[in-house]
Amino acid sequence: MKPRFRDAMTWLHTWTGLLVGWILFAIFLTGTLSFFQDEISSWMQPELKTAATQIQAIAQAEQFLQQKAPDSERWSITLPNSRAQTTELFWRTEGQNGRRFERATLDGSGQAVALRDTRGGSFLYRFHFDLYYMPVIWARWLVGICSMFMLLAMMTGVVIHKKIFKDFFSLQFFKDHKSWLDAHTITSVLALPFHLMITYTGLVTLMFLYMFYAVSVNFGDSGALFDQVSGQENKIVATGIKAPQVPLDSILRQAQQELNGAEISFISIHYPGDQSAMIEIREAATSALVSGFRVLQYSGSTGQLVQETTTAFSSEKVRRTLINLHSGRFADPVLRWLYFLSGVMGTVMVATGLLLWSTRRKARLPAGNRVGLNMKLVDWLNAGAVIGLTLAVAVYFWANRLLPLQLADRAEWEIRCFFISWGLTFIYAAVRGAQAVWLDGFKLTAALLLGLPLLNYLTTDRHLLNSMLQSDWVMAGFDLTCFAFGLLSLLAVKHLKNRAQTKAQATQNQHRLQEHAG
Amino acid sequence: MKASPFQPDSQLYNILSMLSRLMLAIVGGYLCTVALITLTSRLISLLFGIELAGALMGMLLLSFLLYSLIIMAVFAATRLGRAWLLLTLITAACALLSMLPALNAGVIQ
Repeated sequence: MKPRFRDAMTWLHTWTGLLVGWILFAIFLTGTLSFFQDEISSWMQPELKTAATQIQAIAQAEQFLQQKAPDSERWSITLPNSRAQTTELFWRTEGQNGRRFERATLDGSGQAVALRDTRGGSFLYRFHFDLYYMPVIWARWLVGICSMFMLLAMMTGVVIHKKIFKDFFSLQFFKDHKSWLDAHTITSVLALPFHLMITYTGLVTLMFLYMFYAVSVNFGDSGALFDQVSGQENKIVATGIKAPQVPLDSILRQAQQELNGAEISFISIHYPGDQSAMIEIREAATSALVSGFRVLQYSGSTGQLVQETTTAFSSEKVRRTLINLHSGRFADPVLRWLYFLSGVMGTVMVATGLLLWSTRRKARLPAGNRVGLNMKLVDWLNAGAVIGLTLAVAVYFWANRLLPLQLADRAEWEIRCFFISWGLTFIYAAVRGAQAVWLDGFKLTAALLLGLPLLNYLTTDRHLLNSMLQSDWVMAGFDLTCFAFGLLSLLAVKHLKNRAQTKAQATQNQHRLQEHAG
Repeated sequence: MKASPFQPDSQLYNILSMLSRLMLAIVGGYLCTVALITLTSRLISLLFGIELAGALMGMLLLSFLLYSLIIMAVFAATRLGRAWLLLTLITAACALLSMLPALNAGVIQ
C-alpha cells in the first residue's frame, strides 16, 4: 500500500473516530440496551404482572380512546406480545400549537398505568436516534452525521489494517497504549460484520431524511415515492359523517385469520368514528428476517377487508429487511443475546478508540512535557461521555426503584435523574480531573450495579429469589446481567488501581536513579 | 518571516487547503452521489423497464456506500485541484445526462 494513501486513511480514521466518538458511544450504548427494551420496561414496571391478550387489549384500547380522544384524526395502537406486557397508545390532537401526539400506556386491565409510571426501555431506544432535549429532526441529523463518520471510520479502519492477522498475533495485554490498541482492534474485528451492518442499516433506516435531495430531484417529495413503493395509493379522506363502528376486536380476529397467525406490529385507525374510517393492520417482521410485509385495510364502519397490500418492489423489500436486520425484531432469544453482545463489543470499541487517541497522543509528548489544554479537554470529554453515560444508566434503574410510586411527572423525573447524574459526572471530572473520574466512576458503577438485585429485593416482591423460583427469566435475567456488569466494573477498578501502582513504582524508581546519578 | 499564504509551507495555506478538501468531500461528495444516483436510477428504469420508484429506492440503499467511497477518494487524492475538477465534471455530466428527454419520462416533479 502506498505510504501516502495509508497516511491519508489513517488520518481520516483517527479524526472521524474522535470528533464524533462521544456521541457515538452514547448511541452504541443506548442502542445496545434497546435490543432488550421490552425486557427493561418489564423490569421497570414490576407491578404489572398480567398482560391482556391481544383481543382483550384492543377492546380495552378502543374503550380508552373513545373516552379520551373521540375526535382525533388518528389513533395508533401497539398491542402487547410475547415480549411486551403493555398496550401503547398514540393519538393525534389539534392544539393551539398545531398537531401533536399524545400517548398512554395501558396495563393488563385496560387502565392507564398509574403506579410507577415510567418510559422504561423505550426512553433508551428513542434516545439512540432522537437523543433528548432537542427537536427530533436535529437529533436525527446529528446521529446521521455521526453514523456516516462511523461508517468512514470503519471502512478506513479496514483499509489500514490489511496486516490485521499479523497484528492480531502480536497481541499484548495491559501494556499501556499498545494494549488499548489491542482492545480496540479485537472488539472492532471480532464483531466487524455486525458493526458494519448495524451502522449501514442505521443510515438506511433514515434514508429518506438523509438523501432528501436525491428524492426531491426525482420525485418531488418522499411521500409520493413512499406511497408508490408501498402500493398504498388510495388516500383516505374523512367524510365528516359519523357512523357506528364495528368493534375493533372483531376486526382484529379477522386480521389474525387473514395473516395465518403472523404477528401484528401496529394498528392505525384513520378518522375513527367517521363513515370512511379505515383500520390499518400491519404484519410484524418478528417471525422471520424476510417477512411478508402485509398491510390489511379494513373499513371501520362495515368491517370489510378493503385492501390487502404488500410491496411489489424488491428494492423496497430489501429496505424493510435491512431495517429489520438493524432492529433485530425477528431475533429469537439466542440471536438477541448475540446482537446484545456484539453491541457491547461495539460500545467497547468506541470507548477504547477514544482512550487510544488520548494515550497515543500523550505517548508522543517528549518526556516531562506537561499535558496541554487540548489534551485535557479530550480527557475530560472521554471521561464524562463514557463513565458519565454508564453511570447514568445505572442511576436511571435506581431512580426507577427509589422514586415515589405516585410522583407527578414520574416518568420524566426518572429521565431527569439520568441527565442530572450525567451532568454531575462532567462537573466532577472538571473538578477532580479525568483520572479520578475513571476510578471513582467505575467504583460507583460497580456499587450501583452489584447493589441492584439487593435494591430490587428491598423495594419489590419480584426480586431475584422469587423470579428464579418462578422461572421468570425476564426479571431474573435483568438482575443477573446488571450484577455481571457490576463485576466487570470491579475488574476495571482493579485494573486501574494496578496501573496507577505500576506507574507510581516507575516514577519512584526513576527518581531514585536520578538521585544516584546526581 | 511569513511566507506567502499560497506557498505550501505556510500555516494559512495548510488550513485553507484542508477546508477546501473537507468541503469537496462533504458537500461535493453529497452532490456527486445524488447526481450519480439520479442518472443510474433513470438508466436502470429505462433499460430494464423497472419503475423509477423501485430503481431509485435500490440506488438510495447504495448511496451511503457510494458517498463513503467518494469521501475516501477525495482524501486519498494527492492533487486537490485535480480532485475538484474531476468531481465537478462527474457531477455536471451526470446532472446534464439526467435531463435528457429520454430519461425524464418517469419523473414526477
